[in-house]
Parts: sequence; C-alpha cells; structure tokens
Amino acid sequence: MILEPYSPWLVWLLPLFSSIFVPLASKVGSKFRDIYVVGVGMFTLIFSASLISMVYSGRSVSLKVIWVPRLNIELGVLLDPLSVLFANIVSFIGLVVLVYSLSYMAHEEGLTRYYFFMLLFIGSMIGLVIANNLLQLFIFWELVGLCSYGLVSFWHKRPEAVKAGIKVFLMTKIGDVALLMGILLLYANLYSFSYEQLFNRYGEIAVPTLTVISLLMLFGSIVKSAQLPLHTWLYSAMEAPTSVSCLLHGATMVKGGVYLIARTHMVFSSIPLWLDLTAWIGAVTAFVGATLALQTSDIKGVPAYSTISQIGFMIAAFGAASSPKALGWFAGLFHMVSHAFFQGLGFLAIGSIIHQLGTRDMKRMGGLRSNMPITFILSIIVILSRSGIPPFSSFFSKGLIASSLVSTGNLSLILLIYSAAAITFAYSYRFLVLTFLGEKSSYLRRFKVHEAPLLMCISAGVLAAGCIIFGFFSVPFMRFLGVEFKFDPSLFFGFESLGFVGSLIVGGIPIYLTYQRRSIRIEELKSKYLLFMNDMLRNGYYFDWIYGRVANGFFNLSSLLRSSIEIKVLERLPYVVADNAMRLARFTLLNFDVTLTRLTHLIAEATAYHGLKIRRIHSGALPHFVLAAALGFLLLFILLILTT
Amino acid sequence: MIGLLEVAAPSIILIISALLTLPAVNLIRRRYNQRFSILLMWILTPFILVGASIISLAIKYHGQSSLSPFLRIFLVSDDLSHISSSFLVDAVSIYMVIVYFIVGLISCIYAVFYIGFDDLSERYFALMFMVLGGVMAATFSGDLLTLFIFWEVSAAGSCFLIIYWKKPESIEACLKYLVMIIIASAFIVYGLSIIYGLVGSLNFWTVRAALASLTDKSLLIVAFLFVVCGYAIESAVVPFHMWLPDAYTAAPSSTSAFLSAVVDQASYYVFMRVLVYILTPPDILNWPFTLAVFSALTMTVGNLFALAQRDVKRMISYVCVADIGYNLIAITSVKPIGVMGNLFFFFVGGMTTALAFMVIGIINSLGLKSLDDLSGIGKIFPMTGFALVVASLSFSGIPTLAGFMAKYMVFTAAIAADMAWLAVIGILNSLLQTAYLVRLIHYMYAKKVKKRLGGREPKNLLLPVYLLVASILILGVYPSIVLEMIYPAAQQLTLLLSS
Repeated sequence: MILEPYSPWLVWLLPLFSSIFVPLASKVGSKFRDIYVVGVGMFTLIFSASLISMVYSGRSVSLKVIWVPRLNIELGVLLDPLSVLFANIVSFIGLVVLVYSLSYMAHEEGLTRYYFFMLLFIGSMIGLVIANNLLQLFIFWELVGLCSYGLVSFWHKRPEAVKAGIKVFLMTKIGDVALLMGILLLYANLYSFSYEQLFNRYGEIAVPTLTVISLLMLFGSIVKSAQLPLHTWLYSAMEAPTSVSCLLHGATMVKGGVYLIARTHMVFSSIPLWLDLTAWIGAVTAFVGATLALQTSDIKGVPAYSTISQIGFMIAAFGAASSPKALGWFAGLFHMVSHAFFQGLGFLAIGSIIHQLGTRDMKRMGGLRSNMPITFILSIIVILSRSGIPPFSSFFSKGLIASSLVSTGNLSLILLIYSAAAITFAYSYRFLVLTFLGEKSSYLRRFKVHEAPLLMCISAGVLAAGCIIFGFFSVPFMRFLGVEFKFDPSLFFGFESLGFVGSLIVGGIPIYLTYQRRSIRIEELKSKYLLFMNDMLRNGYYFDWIYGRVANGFFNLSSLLRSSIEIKVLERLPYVVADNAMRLARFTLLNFDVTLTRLTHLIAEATAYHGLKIRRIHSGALPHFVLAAALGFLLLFILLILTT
Repeated sequence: MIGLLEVAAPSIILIISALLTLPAVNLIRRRYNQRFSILLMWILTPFILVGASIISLAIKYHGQSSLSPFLRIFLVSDDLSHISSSFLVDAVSIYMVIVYFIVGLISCIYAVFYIGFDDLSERYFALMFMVLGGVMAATFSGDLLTLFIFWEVSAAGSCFLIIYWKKPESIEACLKYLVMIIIASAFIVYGLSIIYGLVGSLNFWTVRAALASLTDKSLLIVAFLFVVCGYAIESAVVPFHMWLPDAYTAAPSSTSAFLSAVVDQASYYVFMRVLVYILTPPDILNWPFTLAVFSALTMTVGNLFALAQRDVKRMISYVCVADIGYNLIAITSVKPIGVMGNLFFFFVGGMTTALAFMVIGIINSLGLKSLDDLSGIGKIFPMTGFALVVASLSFSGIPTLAGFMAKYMVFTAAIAADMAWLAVIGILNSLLQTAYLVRLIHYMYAKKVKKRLGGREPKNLLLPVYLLVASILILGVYPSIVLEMIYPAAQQLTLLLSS
C-alpha cells in the first residue's frame, strides 16, 4: 500500500501537530475549524486502518529514529497486533466522538481549547500505545494525563470541574510516579528502555528486583485504569463534558493501564505474585464497581462505575492468563474492544439525555421512552451488550473471561466475577427503568423533551452497530492477534457462558420487582429486611470502614509524630488517644469516596501541616542561619568521617 | 592558539562597560524623550561585543586539534606557573559562559523595562555587568584563588542588586546575605590555605595530581570540610540555604531572576568544578555518599518549605533551593551522564526560575503577592498566566517541556552511579513539587477573582518572558540543540577519570 512507509509515524504525529494549529483554524471560522478537526480525525483513522495489513496474523514491525543522539533516546514505533488494535480503537472512537462533539458542544465557549486538547489527546494516546520503548510510553502517559486534566476542567468557571480536574491529575500522578520508578528500575538493570531489549533480556534481572518492578508498574497501570484502591478519580472526572468522558474515561485513556498490563504480560507473567494480584484486583474491582453503580443516582455515575467494573473484568482475565498465549489474555483484549463499543455508546446516549434535559440526577427522570425513542433503543443496545446477552459482543468476551477464570479453578474469583456480572445487569436494568420507563417526573413535565440532534444519533448509531456485529468477529480477531489456541465454538455455549446468562436473571429479578413493578417498596425493604445490606450499602460496602481505619492509622501516626516532636509525648498521650477516638468515630461516618480521597491526599496534607510547623522554626533570624550552618558543618563532618 | 586576552575578553568588556555605564546612563537620563531606546541600545552593545568574543572563542576552541581538551593559560608562564593566576578553557566552561550570556541577556532586557520604569538607575545596570563579568571570569578560572577572587566580585555585586529598593526587608535580607557570604568566604579561605599548605599550589591540575598521591588524609578532610561548607553556603544547600529565600523575596524581581539564572547556576558550576574535576576519582576522599545525603535533604526540605509558603515569590525561592538538590544528585554521580545532566539542568533550571521570577515580577507590580491574591489571575491576564503555567509544569517535570529532560538525565545519572535510592527520593520529590505547583495553577484558574484589578499586561515585559517560554518549549521537544554542545564536556570527563 502507498501509505505503508508513512502511516506508522503520521498516525500519531498528525493529530499531535495538528492540535497546535487548532487556534489558527478557529481564526478562520468555526465552520472551518469543525471541518479541520474532523478531517484530522478522519485521516488519523485512515492511517491507523492502513496499519492493520502490516501486522496481520501476529507479525510485528519495529521502526525507530534517534531523537536525542547523545543520550541514546530513541523515538520509535512498535507495530504489532496489540498496538495496532489500540491505535485503531483510539482513532475510531476519537473520530466518532469528534463528530458527536460538533453537535453536542456546538453552543459552548472555549471550543478552540476543547478541540486542541481532543486532538492532542488522540495523538498522545496513539503515541502511547504505538511507542517502542517505555520512556516514550511514559512521556505520552503524562501527556494524556495532562489532556485529561485540561478536559475535565473544561468548564473552568465551575469550581467543581476545576477541583475535579486537580483531583484527577494529582491522583493519577501518584500512579505515574510508581510507573516512572518501575521504568527507571528496569533501566538500571537493562540500560535500555526498549521493549525489544526487555522481552529478550528480562531473564537477566534478579527475581526480587523484577517482582518489585512488576508491582510498581502494576500500580501505575491500575491507577490509570481506575482500579481499586485508587478508583475514585474516575467518578470525579465525570465533571467533564460527556463527549470527553466517552473518549477519555470510557473508551480509551483508562485503557492505558490495560494496555500496559497486556504489553508487559509476557515479562511479568513469570511472577506468580503479579498474576495473583492482577486477578484479585480485577475481580474485586469488578464486583465493587458494579455495586457502586447500583447505588448511584447520578446518570453519569452508571457508566463511570460500570467502566471501573468492566475494566476489572479485563484485568481479572489478564491475571488468569498464565502467558500471552493463554485464553485470558485474548479474552481481556476482546472484552476491551467490546467495552470500547458499548461503553462509548453508553456515554454518548447519556450525553444525548443530558443535552436535552440539562440535569444529571436520575431521580428527576423517567418516562423518556416516548420522547427519545432513538436514544431509548440505543440505551437498550448498551444494556443488552453490557450485560452480555447473546449475540452481543460482550456475551462472547465475558464468556471467554469466565472460562479463563474457571480454568484457574479459584472459586472465590469465579464467584466474584459471576456476581459482578449479575449486578451488571441489575444496575443497567435499574438505569433503564429510572430514566426511560415508568411515569414522567414532575421535573420533566415542565418542558417538552425532544430527541437528540441527528448528528449525535448517527455517531452513536455507528457505535451501536459496532456493538452488534463485533461479536461475530471473534475468530478473525483471534487470528489478527495471532493467538494460537484451538478455537472451539462450544466454548461460547458451554457451561460458563450459559451460567453467565443465568446469573443475569438472578440480578434482574430484584430490580424488576423493586423498580418496575413496585411490588416491593424499596424503602420498606431497606428498613425492614435488608437492614444489614442497606447499612453496608450506605457505608460503601464496609470499604469505607476499612479505609477509615487505614486513614486513621496514618492520621494517628502523623499526629503522634507531630506531638512527640513538639510536646513531651507522655503529657499529650491521653489527649491524643481521646482525640483520635473522636476522629475514628467521625471517620467511620464519612462515606467511601470522601475517605478514599482523604487517604490519597493525606500525604500532601500531612506534609503541608508539617511544613507550617517547620516554618515557625524558620523565623528568619540571622543567629538561626548561622546555627543551622554550623549544624550542617557538623553533619558534613560526621558523614565524612563515617564514610572514609 | 587561544591567548589570555581572548579568554578574559568577555569579562573585560563587561567590567569596562560597567564603569562606563555610570556616567553614560546619567547622560541618557537627561534626554528624557527616547531614554528607553537609548538605554536599551547602551545595554545591548556590550552584550553584542561579549557575544562576538564568546563565539570566536568557542569556534577557536572547538576548531583546534590539540591533544588535550583542557587549555590552561597562565598569567606567568615559566617555572612559577604553579602559583600563578591561571585560566582554564574547556568545553564545560565555554558552555557555561554561553549559558550566562543567553540568560543574562534576557534578564537584562527584562530589568531595563522592570527597573527603568520609575527611576532610571545607572547603578543597577553597572552592577549587573559587573556580576556577569565576575561570574564569567570565575568560570574560566584555572586555579582556586582566581576562582575565589572573581566569585567574591560577583557576590559583592549581587549584594547591591538585592538591596536596590532600600526597603527595610531588603536591607535586612541583604545583611543576612552579606553575613552568610562572609562566613562562606572565611571558610573557603581557610580551606584553601590548608590545601596550599598540603600541596604548595592552588592550580586545579597540580592540586588534583597531588591529592591523588596523598597518604595522610586527615588534613584533606578538614580542607574539604571548609571549602565545601563555604561553597554550600553560596549555592544554598540545606541547611546552609536560609539566606536565599529571604534575599530573593526581598530583592526586586528582576534581580531575583538574574541571580537565580546566573549567579545560582554559577555557584552550582563552581561546586561541580571543585568536586568532580578536582576531587576525583572519588576514592581519594569518599565524598559522593555524603553529598548524596545533603542532596536528598536539600530536595526534601526545599520542596516541603515551598509547599508551606503562601507568598508566591518565596515559594519560587524554595524551588531554587530544591533545584540545587537535583543538581547535587548529578554531581554526586561523578559520571559523564551526570555532567551532561548538570550542564543541561544549569541552563534549563536557570531559565525556568528566571521565567518564574519574571512572571511574578509582573504580578507583583500589580500589587499581588500571596497565593490568595493570585486567585483568578489566569483569566484576567492570560499571557502572564500561561507563562507561569509553563514554568510550573517545567519545574514539575512534565514531558515535552525542558524540565522533564533535565530531570530525566539527573535521575538516570543517579541510577548509573548505583544510587537508585537517590533517584527514588528525587522522583517522590517531583511528586511533591507537582502538588504545590498544581495548587498554584489551581489558584490561578479555578478560584474566583478576589480584588478588582486595574491595569493591563505590560507588553514589553512579556517579550523577555516569552523568549524564555519559547526556549523551554523548544528544548523540551528538541534537547539535542544543547546536548550537542554538552557532549564534548562529558567526553572530557571520561578522559579525566580514566587518566
């Protein structure tokens, strides 16, 4: 093909550099800017699609140029099925979302900024997945974080949006630091960042070191992919415009961690601890995310927590695979693709609803079925697809995940995944009942609701088509990835997959009874029969209690340290104990998210507090300067004597 | 062949123009009409001359094909050469002089618009020339005494740059600075006297050779202690750092920008020159670990204190303190990659701190000082706000800005020297740094505007600011421009360490 020599580079350089010219294009006119942006998206998709033929059936091509010759830093692309798959997903969903934004964001201010960050994001995300070395991956990893920050605080006049942006940036930064440490540790052992060197020579690294590296990189991945325990940033990121949530926080950016796990699977799957941890984090997150989706009344909370939960499925599948040739690895990626379709569609459908209603509160909705028929149908597709009803793609991918987990034989993991699947259907169904079915709420009666604009429906429809047909492409997809296990059609209709469908009924019946038939009154149910359950729900399934304890532990530690420095320990001890008992009581009352946020901000807060304390010492008097200098002199002396 | 005159030319030009500036600016002041353009021309002329002399020196140096890359030029070139004043030209010193030239030029342009607005002062620019000349001569010096003398010249000049506004707090800060610098000088002189007693010379090469064959090291430890303490005070290593935040906060912003970009970086350079080029290989005296501890301390304390500050200028001053911590990481590695990281960091760190101080100067001139005052600044003054965002992101090491590449090189240097723990501390510190710098951005863009603000962004002050912004962005994407200049320096260190 003609494009072959250029497309590996242009696919990410084009959107990256085009982003700089968005302000220029806006100067010409808003129509021109729209055409320009969509044109760039289109060409990106063409370039990425042209890569497919280069890597079909598991071939891989590595190209590189030298970026900084004196430091041996290379700029390269690694084309293999994994990277090309991700690049295509990004450019495809990116284009769909860009088209959707034309209509969705039409009346907003600051669109230049919006499209600048969107193109920058598409370029960086493709750069992230297509990079041939870890340093380049990290650079783009940071850049997509920056884009996420810029887009989450897009409505910079709303304090919540800006606050959420800061939270998202700082929380993901914690993961980035862990990842950077992992990468630098790898470098310290191999003196190279390239995947090629890593794959060939990882055997040279001592096993304990490799374990540490794997855990650091796993931590980086799970933060990026919003897995437990640092998943709360994803819900905060919902302050972004829904089109952004769709692209960044549904379909692509959060998959950065999934990509990294899939990429490094070959190296780290030799470490049992890494595998176990991955599987457990995935399964637990799948379960917890699903339950959180069940209790939210924010319409965007449903796809947000659902994304957390579904990525949990993928990561659990990776943990169940003993090597990149195993079923779990394939199942995880398969689910990644189908999730990109159905969750992307989910966000777009919800975007249409928010666009028409101007509220995110599900309790104020209801009976939208007749007013927004197209959105209703799209939402049904989302729900069927998300829950894994055959023949939607997610049925196949979840079935594969289930079989890969069953093959590990770990009963608790299997139970977690099955119950997560059941709850998935429950919360999806609940969402449908609350918004589309039932009576119109008093809020909605006040104005006439229209169907979403055509452009929005069309772009959502493209994703809907993807949801429906992708499931039938499992065999070509498998060939594309070059996975070599024997394909067996009965795999899909075996016990595991059917068990999945069975579990949906278990999840669906309670919701049907409580929300649709109203034969069980939810308040009554909560107060009488499910007191324990309700209690757990309100407390975030006792996670807040555990995290409260952990957070309190940190608080205790820091306050103890503080008081031991300032005042005599014994004098303060009773107060400290009493004080902390009070704090413990207060903390157990705080809900899950707040506590977790506290935990992550804890280090920053504690250091800020200490900083304030130290500042007092730093009063600025000259004798103190000289004293400090003398102390430094002494320290220098002691250290020198000790080391020589 | 490079002669004495060519090496000294930049400093001589600068010091002569410092002397001429006093009467000349006095004359310019009387011609009220076009005082700015004339002043600017007067300021730029010596820079053009200095630039030309540096370029010719660099071309000559890199064009020569002599055996040793270290050119030693003696004032008295016979058998007394070991006690004569001498200069040393190598890739490192040439690179550093270019760095001072570029950053000094930009801060001088800034100062013309910043200081010259209310009362055009002849003193200020004369002092700037003098400090720059002193720093350049110190960089070229080839023995410890010449280094010391020119260093004192620049320190004395800096003192008067700090006190320029004659406010109570600036007088106090200047006094503190002066006392600390005098203590430092005393330390250094005492250390130097011991070294002279041990070796009989202060020439870098003679000292280096003599130390390598020294048997009794107890006196060397004492000498090292005093010299390092002295230079640690001048480059503000924790716990010798306390004068720096006071001085930089009280000084006019143009001074802070100039000092942080030129004098600070020069002091790091001196540190590196003395430690890496004289006291190596480290088995003469095992100093790297000791200084690694100080490096960790400096980064942590600098960033912690910066986190606690509400005054933005003071916060940036503490970022300067943290910067020397990062530089010390590379110095203690004693590796070619470390030298490269150092040299790159000198340039980038200097530019970034200068940028931050310049922007804060603009903001301060509107009467805004604390973090709360900055609320909503980004929306009212978009150009100023963006420049500060670039500086913050570069400080915190966000990729595609120059700060990332600088930090990357520093951390890999630590890893190359088997001090991964130091790299880890450095990375954690970067996280801390990100936290308070993002807080700054948060205040600038997220908070509501507190005060009713009049005034517009001063366009002429934004010119030097955006020169720096552009170079930070370009160096982040294409660091090779500078790295090509630095690379010979790294090779020279390899040569030095192997011999």
